[in-house]
Amino acid sequence: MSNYLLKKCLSLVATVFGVSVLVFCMVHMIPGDPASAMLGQFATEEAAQEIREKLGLNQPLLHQYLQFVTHAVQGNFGTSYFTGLSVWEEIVNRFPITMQMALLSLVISTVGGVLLGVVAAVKKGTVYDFVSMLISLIGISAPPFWIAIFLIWFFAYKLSLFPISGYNGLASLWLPAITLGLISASSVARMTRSSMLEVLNQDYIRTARAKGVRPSGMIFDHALKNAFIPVLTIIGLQFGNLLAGAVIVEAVFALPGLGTFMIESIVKRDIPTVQGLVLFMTVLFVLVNFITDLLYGLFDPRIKYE
Amino acid sequence: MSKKWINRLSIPLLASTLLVAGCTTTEKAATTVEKKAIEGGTLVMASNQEPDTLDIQQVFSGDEPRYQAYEPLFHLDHNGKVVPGLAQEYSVSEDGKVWTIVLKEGPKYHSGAPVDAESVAKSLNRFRDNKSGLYAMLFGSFEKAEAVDKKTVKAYFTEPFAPFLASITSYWISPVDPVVVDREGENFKNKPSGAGPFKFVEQQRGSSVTYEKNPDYAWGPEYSKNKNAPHIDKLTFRFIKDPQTRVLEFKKGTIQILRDVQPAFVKELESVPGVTLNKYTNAALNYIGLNTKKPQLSDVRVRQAISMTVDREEIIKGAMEGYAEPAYSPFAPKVPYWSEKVEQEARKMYKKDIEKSKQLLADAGWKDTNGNGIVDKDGKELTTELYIIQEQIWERSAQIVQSQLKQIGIDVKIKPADLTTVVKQTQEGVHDMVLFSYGWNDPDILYIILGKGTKQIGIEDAKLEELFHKGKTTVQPEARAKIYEELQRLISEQAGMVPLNVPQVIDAYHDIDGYMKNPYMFNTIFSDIQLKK
Amino acid sequence: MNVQPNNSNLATVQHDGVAVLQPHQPKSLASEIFFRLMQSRGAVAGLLIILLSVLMAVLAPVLSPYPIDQMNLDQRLQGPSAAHWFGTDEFGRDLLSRVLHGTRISLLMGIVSVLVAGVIGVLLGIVSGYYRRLDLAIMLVTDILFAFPSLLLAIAIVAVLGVGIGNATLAVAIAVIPYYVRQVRASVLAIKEKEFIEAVRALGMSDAKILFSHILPNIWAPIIVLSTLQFGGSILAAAGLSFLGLGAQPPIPELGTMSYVGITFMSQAWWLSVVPGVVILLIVLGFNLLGDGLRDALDPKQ
Repeated sequence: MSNYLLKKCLSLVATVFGVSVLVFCMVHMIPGDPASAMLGQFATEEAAQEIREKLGLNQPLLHQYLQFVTHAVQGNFGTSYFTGLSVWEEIVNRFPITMQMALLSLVISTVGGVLLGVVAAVKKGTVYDFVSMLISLIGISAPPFWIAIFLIWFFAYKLSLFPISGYNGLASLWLPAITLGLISASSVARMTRSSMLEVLNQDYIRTARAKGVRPSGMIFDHALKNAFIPVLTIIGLQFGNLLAGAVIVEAVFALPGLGTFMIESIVKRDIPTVQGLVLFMTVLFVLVNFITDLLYGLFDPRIKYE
Repeated sequence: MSKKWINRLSIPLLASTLLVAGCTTTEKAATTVEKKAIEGGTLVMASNQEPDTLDIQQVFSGDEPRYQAYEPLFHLDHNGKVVPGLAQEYSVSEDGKVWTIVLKEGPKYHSGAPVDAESVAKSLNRFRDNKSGLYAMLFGSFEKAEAVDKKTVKAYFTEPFAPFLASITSYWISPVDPVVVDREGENFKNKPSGAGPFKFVEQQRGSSVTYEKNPDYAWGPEYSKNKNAPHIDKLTFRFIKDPQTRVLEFKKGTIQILRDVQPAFVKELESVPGVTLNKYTNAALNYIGLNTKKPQLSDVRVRQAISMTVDREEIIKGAMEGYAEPAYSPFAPKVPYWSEKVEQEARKMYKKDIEKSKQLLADAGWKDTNGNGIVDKDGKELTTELYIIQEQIWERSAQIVQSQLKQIGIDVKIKPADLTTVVKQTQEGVHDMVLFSYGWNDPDILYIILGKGTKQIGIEDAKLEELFHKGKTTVQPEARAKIYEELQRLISEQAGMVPLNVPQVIDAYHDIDGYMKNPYMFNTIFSDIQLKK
Repeated sequence: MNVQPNNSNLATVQHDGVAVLQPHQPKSLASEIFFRLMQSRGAVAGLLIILLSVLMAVLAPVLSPYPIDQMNLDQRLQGPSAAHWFGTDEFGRDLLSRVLHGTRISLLMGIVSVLVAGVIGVLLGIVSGYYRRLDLAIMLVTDILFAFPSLLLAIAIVAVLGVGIGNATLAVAIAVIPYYVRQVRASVLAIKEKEFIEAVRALGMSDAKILFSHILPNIWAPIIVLSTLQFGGSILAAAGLSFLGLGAQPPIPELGTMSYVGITFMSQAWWLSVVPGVVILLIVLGFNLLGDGLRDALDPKQ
């Protein structure tokens, strides 16, 4: 077990380092530079040069990279070129919003998806199965921004059940979370259904049924537990998708989360912010996958950590 | 057992609830009770761009949300005439190198300190030291500012700088509160303070900026009705990037003022009861910049052909829903020294004429020798890349320009990118053509586009350079007018810039009284506004 | 992989005048799979949708009543009519023609992404799983690519390369490669165990022969399923990029771009956004249905 953990940790560290290099390279390859962004259309070359000097953009790339990495390891992501505020502070301020929304989506997606999938599996072949699967198929096939706009228009504007946009505490996160959750629930539902079906068809279940054991008890004890492993994989993957989907949703709902922050920073070429943000988000993502891997043990002691 | 019940009932139940709810819409119906103007309350305005910094002297984006804590030295009224702000009069020395500004008695900063010559001089020098991006445009050859006595400030220049008038009539050169500057230093941008009608309350990054009224304010400009403290208690700017979301919030009533409404939404908003739309033009002009250093655009005849083919009316109709006025001369009418005469001459010269354009191209050696629809010369086809900023107005205008130029055999490829990229690439002269907009209350700004060494248009002409220099250093208005008339004519003949139109800016508002926009100040007069409840 | 004959389908055969029930004899692997595929209504529906889209796409130039870039500014934003079955857009261009061409573009983008990702991904997966060289390096890079949520990765790639249909397709392809690598590597590793590849190799069988006769036959099934499902995903990803303004640029009639631009005109001309959006939905739906059906048909257990 500890051998496996050690290997996993090492690969985690290696991945994060690799990401840092990738991020740094990409950010510096984007055409245009912060000086142009700051000065805008009516700038002069001299003014631009002055800014570049001040920000240290003329130093050799390797030097800049090493600075970035050594500071990052200490938790210092530098300050934004534009606002002068600490990047770490900005991330910490906006992170809870994105996180809350992502977690809420995850809950909606898991609960909704599993329920839908279980119903469809248990009632295979009936109209419930058909409708559930149709809904989830549409959920994974429709353009996300469509779903978002439709939900806003209907639930926030027409029915006034939720605020249209902006962040005002948890209440304003429900609609964005539902948007993301619906799309994600579709994948979860499909996976749950096929996974449950596989388990339900297995011999030992059929034997138990033949012996007259009550179906509902079986479903929630044996079948679900065994079916849950692949479902867990999907849920882990969904988290990454949710973080990514957050970018679109935050834009539509005007939420000051990490997604909109990322887009703005890229547009402004706010290099420290982009680097810090992307590094932060990918580390988060990698950690979540790591935890998901560990959670496998909870659901199936048969899995040995070779 | 219970599961079956839930399954059976839930779906139809949910469906019918939604259906019923959707039908009985909660859309804002026209109220029969007349709303009355009240004192106090919070006014909310939606904005697209969040300012990076609230320090007015760091001239980055995000205008109105940044202005409210400040008061400029002078204002321009609705006719573009200079009227007092914190200062009451100005004069320029004979040699044009010294500006004397006399301040009003009475105005105070938010900290309580008086707006005296000492603080104003300090403020001007601080701007000089900050050296922000628009420095050349706003301060030029500024050397220093000095307080001569309690009310008089003198600004010294190494050579005459006429555009300074546009600077001191703008919010960007508003005096900043010296007490707060000294106290906060670098952090001033998070605690802005000036002598404006509102005091800064808080900024929630990514969401909003909030101000509250300045009860001591009593020096409003003469064109506003209420020269004292604002009627409203609080003023909030909300930053919502997605235009559709902004419109929805406005329709729902959570926002009273929607600025910079995109033309496509106008019809929708006009149909909402109680909504008023305010359309106006300011000094902005949309144009196509032609890179004259590129071989296919170096011949003036080719450029003139382009200007003669582009159908400005079509672009206004197709890209801007009709909310713009065609422009043929390189200045917008609201820019000082705009020449009606040159505009008429340009209209005649560049009247749409496809046949004449084709002839011009042929004269320059471009003919379609292989019959593929694109003209060529010496084996090379006339292909161009049109750089644009990725926004709806440009994307649509570009598509129309593309299809129009096809008529005379010029192939246009559209290259969209974000603002920063386009700015950088045009500064380096990578482009063939670019769709841009420019605008300022002084014509000298064109120097940044057409000056020596610039690459956006890349024209090198001694006469052009001379006119620019004379225009910048001539303070006397009549003399300046003559110089700029000549300049406009020359630019028009060179056709390096193809002016397209002067866009109408559209603001929408409801539930308020007293709305007034001053296009010359790029600002709304918030002190006149009262909420209606 | 063993495909069991479907014993529940018996056929009658005349044999010396006596009707004898014979078990259904499969002619070949392909036809057997096809037969099972046809059993699933979803897969059939999906296949039909796909065939229809392909037909529309291939015949787009012939079927389009107007050129896709012909502007007619007097007839902007018109609803469906006899002259324009799908109405006109903000420039007066015919929507039907643009949607037909848009279908072609979306399908092409999907094909290119999946092809590029598939070829590179399978190669890397085989190198990693079979040859075991660079396994650590390849897995590390794959993990890094997986570490980026795919939309972010696509955004990053497009930010560097510039917007446009080519770069967007490339970005989507790059984001999909890791899925192939992981899948192929896992399959190869599993096969190696089952079929004693190491032993056979030691006995002198050439790598090429092993690859062709043992490895490939066993991994193509999951690859096909993955490809079909990723097809839909790629088209959606491309539409997502278009929503952020990073994909195909106007005037190219890509369905995602059209749907996004059309949102601005929602109140005046809702069909501009809805029609392309629905077409995307249907195409992706078709591929998902087919993918599901293929997965069931290729699954030995059922």
